[in-house]
Amino acid sequence: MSNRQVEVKRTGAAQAERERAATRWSYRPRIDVYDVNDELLILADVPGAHPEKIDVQFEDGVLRIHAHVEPRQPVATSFTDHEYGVGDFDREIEIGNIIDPEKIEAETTHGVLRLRLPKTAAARPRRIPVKAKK
Amino acid sequence: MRSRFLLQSSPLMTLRQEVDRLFHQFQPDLQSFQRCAHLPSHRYPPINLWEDNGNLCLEAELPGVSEDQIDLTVSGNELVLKGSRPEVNVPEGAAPLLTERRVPEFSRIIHLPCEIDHDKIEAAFENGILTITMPKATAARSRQIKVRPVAGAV
Repeated sequence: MSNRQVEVKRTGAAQAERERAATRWSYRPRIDVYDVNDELLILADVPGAHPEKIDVQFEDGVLRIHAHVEPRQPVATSFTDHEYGVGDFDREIEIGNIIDPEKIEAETTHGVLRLRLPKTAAARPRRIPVKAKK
Repeated sequence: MRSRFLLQSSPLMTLRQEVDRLFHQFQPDLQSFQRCAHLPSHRYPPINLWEDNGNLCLEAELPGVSEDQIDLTVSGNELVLKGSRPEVNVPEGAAPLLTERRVPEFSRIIHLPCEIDHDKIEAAFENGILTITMPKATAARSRQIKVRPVAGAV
């Protein structure tokens, strides 16, 4: 009961705008994550997304990928087969503060976003020499 | 998952999201909305098929494939879409933490709902999206059929 009252207070112009934008489906891209010793490598399937519309952010140890994708067919299209929807891609990946956000590199090829995330010096694997005790 | 706005607007959903993160850090998240159900390999890639102005149009998502890796053939009313999707650019010694994108090879037969003009098929590939435009055969286009009155009918 009290939850609903809180929500009503927050509704405003900004919220309404988000609601309008949110009525379109948003999709979760499939990803591959690799640990390559000194960096993480993330590949994300974002077919149909143009590089300028892809947004990558890293904050509080969370990597956020957002790609805006415009519909490719008119809304009223009547599909004979309709196995997937066209819409924005969104994904949050909990990584932790082990990478250096200044050094993230991103590129796209053939609808795949490729992210290189170099680790901080402290997070890199370090070989510890083992001394024999006499 | 649906757009984050829906999750953030409710304190209970935020809590649930936090708990989910804890348990599902690098696990495949079966609860969340996947783009399409995991299709068996003979139904990859997922397709959308529709008609537009006398054309039959097909769209398929093939991220990570290049044009020369796509093998597209048409025979009668069947389209065969085959190809390979090898993982390139992953360095030696990389340890996979999560792999959701695995589809090394695919082969799919798509039955078309009508006759098409084989000589005029066009296929374009951009940003991982394959679009095939197939003009319908003239006989397949809808034609008004005149209803002839039978002599002597009332």
